Amino acid sequence: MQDFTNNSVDLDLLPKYEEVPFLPIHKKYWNVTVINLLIFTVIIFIATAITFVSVYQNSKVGVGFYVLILVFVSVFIGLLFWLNRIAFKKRGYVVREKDVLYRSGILSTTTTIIPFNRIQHIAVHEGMFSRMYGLASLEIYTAGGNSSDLSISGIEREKAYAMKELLMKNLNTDIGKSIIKENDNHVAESTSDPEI
Amino acid sequence: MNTETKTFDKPQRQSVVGIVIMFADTLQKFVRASWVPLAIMIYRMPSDALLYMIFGVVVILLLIGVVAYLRYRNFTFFLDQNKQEFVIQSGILSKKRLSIGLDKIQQVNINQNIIQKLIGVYSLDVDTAGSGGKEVSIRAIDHNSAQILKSKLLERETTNEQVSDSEVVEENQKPIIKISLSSLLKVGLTSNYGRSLAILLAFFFTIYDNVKDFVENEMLTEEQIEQYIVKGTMLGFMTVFMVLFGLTFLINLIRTVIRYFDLEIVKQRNSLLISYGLFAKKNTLLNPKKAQIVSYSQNFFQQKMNVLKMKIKQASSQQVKEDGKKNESSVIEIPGADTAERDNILHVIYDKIVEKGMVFNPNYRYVLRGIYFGLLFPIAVVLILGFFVNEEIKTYFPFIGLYVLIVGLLIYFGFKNYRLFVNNDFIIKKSGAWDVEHQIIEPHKIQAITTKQFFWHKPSDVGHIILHTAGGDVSFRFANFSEINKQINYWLYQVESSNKHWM
Repeated sequence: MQDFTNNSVDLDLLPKYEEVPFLPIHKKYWNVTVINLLIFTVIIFIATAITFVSVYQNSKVGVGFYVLILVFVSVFIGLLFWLNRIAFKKRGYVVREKDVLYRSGILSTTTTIIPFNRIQHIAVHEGMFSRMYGLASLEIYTAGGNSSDLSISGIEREKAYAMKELLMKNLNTDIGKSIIKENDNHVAESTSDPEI
Repeated sequence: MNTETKTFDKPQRQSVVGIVIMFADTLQKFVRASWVPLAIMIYRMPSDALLYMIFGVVVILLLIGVVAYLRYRNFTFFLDQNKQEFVIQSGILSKKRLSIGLDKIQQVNINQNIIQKLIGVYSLDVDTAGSGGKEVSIRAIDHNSAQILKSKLLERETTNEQVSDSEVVEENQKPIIKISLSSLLKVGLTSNYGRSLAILLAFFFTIYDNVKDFVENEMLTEEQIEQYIVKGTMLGFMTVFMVLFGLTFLINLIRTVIRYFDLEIVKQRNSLLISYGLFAKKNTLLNPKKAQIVSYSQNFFQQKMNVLKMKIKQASSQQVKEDGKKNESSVIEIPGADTAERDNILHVIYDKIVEKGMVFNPNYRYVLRGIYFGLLFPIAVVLILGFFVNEEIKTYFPFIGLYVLIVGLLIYFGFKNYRLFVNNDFIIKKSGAWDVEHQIIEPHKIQAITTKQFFWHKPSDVGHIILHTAGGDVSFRFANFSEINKQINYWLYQVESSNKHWM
């Protein structure tokens, strides 16, 4: 307890998580999102078509009705694209010296912070479409349950694996302060990635 | 004492009476697995086949007996001192050998169900880290051996502490806390209103449906029923309600007493042994290091009677995660402690006095949210329904006043009690309108932190935070965002700079 006698000053001098510049998701990941959305769009259109054709098969409805439905569905799809675009733009991540941060959300901004020494295990996941663009997602698990697990998609594959390596090194190294120190430069490199 | 000499170096079987337990287990398994076909068979069977049926049952029972005997014969366990492993061999046709490193053992519980109680044996369950759900259970062992085996299995944790056996024995006999029947009754009487009410409502709706069915079948007109209800039975109705409420209350009370009867907490080396139960005695071992969230709650009546309910959430099987399953945490409940006992338990767990530090208040928007969702929205729905959909609802409009009063009070007290206290060693969240709960976590038990801010809260500098621990989440909503962010940075500093392990 005697280590921290000057609480309020300490609080102001500490590194501020809320002021760290976040790295955006890789631009190509938008293509992956679009592909997924297009597949979804096709499914929606087919489903609507089947539903309405089968329901109104015998009754006489004007062309206008179908146009209305079409407009409605199109607006819905458009909205979906728009929301996804916003979500895409708002997503971001940072690896600091001792923790990982991830930010996302449309209406709300959700930031999750996982200290290195609380990570349970890490996985790199390469989705089918992501792989086409050389991207992968980094999944970080803690003991804090599902709500605190992170999945950062849209990172370049090599970078994702490098990050995994880096984080792996820091797992369970309560003693190995020196290892963390060695990695400091490494981290700095990856945070100042010239991708922005 | 001959207990001292008992070792578990050589493979050995369970108590001979274990055959009975095995029999019961196997029978239970058999019935559970095949009750559907069995039921169908019995249902379809012609009545003159009774003899065959009896014959069949006898054959099945014999077979189960043989299986039980073989399971007993082939189940052996021993402690490999050299490799520091606990080895269990089992299986009838395919033999299985399971060895558990002693360092993987998280918990050893000694339990007793009714059959075991009847023949005077215990079961010893070994809970391991990793390998999700692969828990080992010795089904029949006498109490003495169970205790010795247990202490041997958990020995590794204390090898560097060198606690002599006599000390342990002495500690064993002195419970630090003993919950009396009267405090248990007090807690039972003053809690579970919610559950009582829910059971009651469920019961009521069932009855109502039945009455409706009856009425519809008997072709009574609605007017008749209304008159019937209004005139004669309003009083009877209330009486039935009160009686039912009393009854559910009583059932809850009895349940609490049976479950937590004679709750004792014994300090055992560096952990707490909690035992309770009237018919089935349960023993749980709590390692203070594994406690993630400790909480206690108390309502108005309980405060007057000086009783409270404690709950300790601990992390178990941390590596279950890796199998992709949810990290399960186990909860230990201690109902009926008084404030002194609470402080005692907290002191044993944390080895410090738990103090409330700097306080965070929620923004007034916390109240607004309660008013939107608790008052305006439901009342609007009822009004709209009453005016536009069903005229009959109008007769219930006077109750809206009562509703506003109750919910208003709940919101007010909910807001008044919603606080976050922070100091160097503890984070304490206080919440609840009627049952006021305090949740205590230590900063180094934090696994991750999530903050959330809606864009319309940005100008007023309000945000929500969630602290994730291995025993569950603790959230604080509508906090002053820049103040709480400072605190988050400090917690991160505490987590990232200290070597204190969270488990």
